[in-house]
Amino acid sequence: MTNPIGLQEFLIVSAMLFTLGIIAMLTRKNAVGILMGVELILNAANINLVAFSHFITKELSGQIFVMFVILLAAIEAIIALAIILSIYRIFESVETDTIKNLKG
Amino acid sequence: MNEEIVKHIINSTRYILPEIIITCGILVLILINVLSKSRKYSLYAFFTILTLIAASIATFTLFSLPENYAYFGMIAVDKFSLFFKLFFILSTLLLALISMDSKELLEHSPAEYHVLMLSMLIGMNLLASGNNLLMIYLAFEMLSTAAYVLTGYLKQKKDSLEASLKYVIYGAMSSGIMLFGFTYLYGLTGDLRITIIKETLKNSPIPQPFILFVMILILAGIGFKISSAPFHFWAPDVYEGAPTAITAHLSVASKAAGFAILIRLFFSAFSYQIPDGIMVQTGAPWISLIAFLAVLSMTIGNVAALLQKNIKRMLAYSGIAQAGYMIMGLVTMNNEGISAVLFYLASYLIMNLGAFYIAISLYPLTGSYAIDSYAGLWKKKPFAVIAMTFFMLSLIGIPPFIGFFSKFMLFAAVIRAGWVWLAVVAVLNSVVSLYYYMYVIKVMVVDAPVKTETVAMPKFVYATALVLAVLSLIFGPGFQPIYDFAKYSVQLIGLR
Repeated sequence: MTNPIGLQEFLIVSAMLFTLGIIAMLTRKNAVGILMGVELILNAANINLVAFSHFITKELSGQIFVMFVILLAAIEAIIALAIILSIYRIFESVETDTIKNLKG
Repeated sequence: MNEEIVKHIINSTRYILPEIIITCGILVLILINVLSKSRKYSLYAFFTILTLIAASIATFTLFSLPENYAYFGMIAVDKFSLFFKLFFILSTLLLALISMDSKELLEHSPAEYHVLMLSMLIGMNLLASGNNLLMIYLAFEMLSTAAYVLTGYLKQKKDSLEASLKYVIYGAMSSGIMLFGFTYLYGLTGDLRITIIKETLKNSPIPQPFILFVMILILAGIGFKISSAPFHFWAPDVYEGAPTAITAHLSVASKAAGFAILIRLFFSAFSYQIPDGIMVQTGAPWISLIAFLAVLSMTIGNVAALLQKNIKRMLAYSGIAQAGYMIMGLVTMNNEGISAVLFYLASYLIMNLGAFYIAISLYPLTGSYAIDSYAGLWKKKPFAVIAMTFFMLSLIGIPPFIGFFSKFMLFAAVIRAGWVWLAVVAVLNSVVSLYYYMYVIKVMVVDAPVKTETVAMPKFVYATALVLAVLSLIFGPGFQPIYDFAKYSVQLIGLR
């Protein structure tokens, strides 16, 4: 192999995932779709952490951080889905353009 | 080697004694909920208040211990973090006290409400003392998720649920962006601990555009917490939709938690102290970035507040502007500025909680939170109007209330550090804010009365609001003790 996968490739992938996650959060109307964008952002950070831990610091601290970020992504998904469920019971829809009770 | 690690962990435990007490309180509350069949919510409130008093006593005993890092650099126990722990415990204590008046908050599941309140407190405490990027992120999320659930606690009300959804979406995005910034900071400096990051940034400079980009990403998350523009879009809707007791707590406590981590991150990681005591910024010129955020927050907050007709939205935009003033205190880069910010936060607790508590007290009478529904209340409830006048005048910054003295110390610190143009912008903004604060007083005193219900005001909330009004008057000319305590607390352990 003349060009093994190095740090840059991982960083490019995670930056692309991050951008896609931001776009998903900004453009989607469905609340569950916005939640998918959150997951993309958090996983982009995970790739970043593992890549830096392997190539730059050669310590395990980045990978331990990843364990906690995976846990927190799950927690945020639980909380957000519980709120979306309550909203569905009252509003009958989860599209953000129909949930506009408050001004602005 | 192993024995040393175990001994270090055991010795570190005494530094998190307040959090251990609060955790025991949470466990006791869950146990009572499972074992007892009584649905009286005063039982849970009593245990929560007991836990909070015990935690505050534990925090006072920590003052006498020398400054140290606990758990291998995870937590920094210094006077700065203890100041904020007392601040958060006080705000949570007031929330527990006034929630006893609210039937709709407590009738459903009082144990869960108090457990959420205490979990939020643990998150804030750990955020104020976090020294490691992992600890900061974990505590940030702990605080945020408890706040999301508390915002949407009135599950039957559309406003509360919509506010909670908007809070979750904005909050998840901001904390995700902040986490991404943390990962780049880890990659650029090679360690998660803030003190090591400072050493690396000081000794081997990293190209400035990268560090500036990382700082902007981190500020996205922290700016969300302190409701600074341009990350403020969640604040008006969340403040308006959430149960007002929760709004009051969020507006003071979570904002202060954001300021704690902002100060600790930017003064322990992104600046260092040269031998004659002056602080120098390192990494990238972030002072201009902070100044820009301050001006943006002040202007947007004040201009948008002029148009508000709902008192909760007005206080949300006023909170954005007040956050702008407090961010301004950080450009001074000296102890005087930081202690002025801490003193401003303490005065903000008294003023803002008081204003919200009066709004809660008046709600049964008027049936709405619109400012025009308070017309002519001077005839019926003069003491409530006097208290609200105290809080509004204090928020403008008019003597002899505490708001004047806190603004004065802040502006004086900024001018003495050489940022005169920034102080001029702040003074102009204070003049603009006169209109919308005075409008509330004018409606209450001068306008013709509208029809109101003749019911009693909730006792605990009204009594607490009157006590806070008296405090805002006493601590005006008597501000020295609070300011001295703030000055004494500005001893960040990583500052040398």
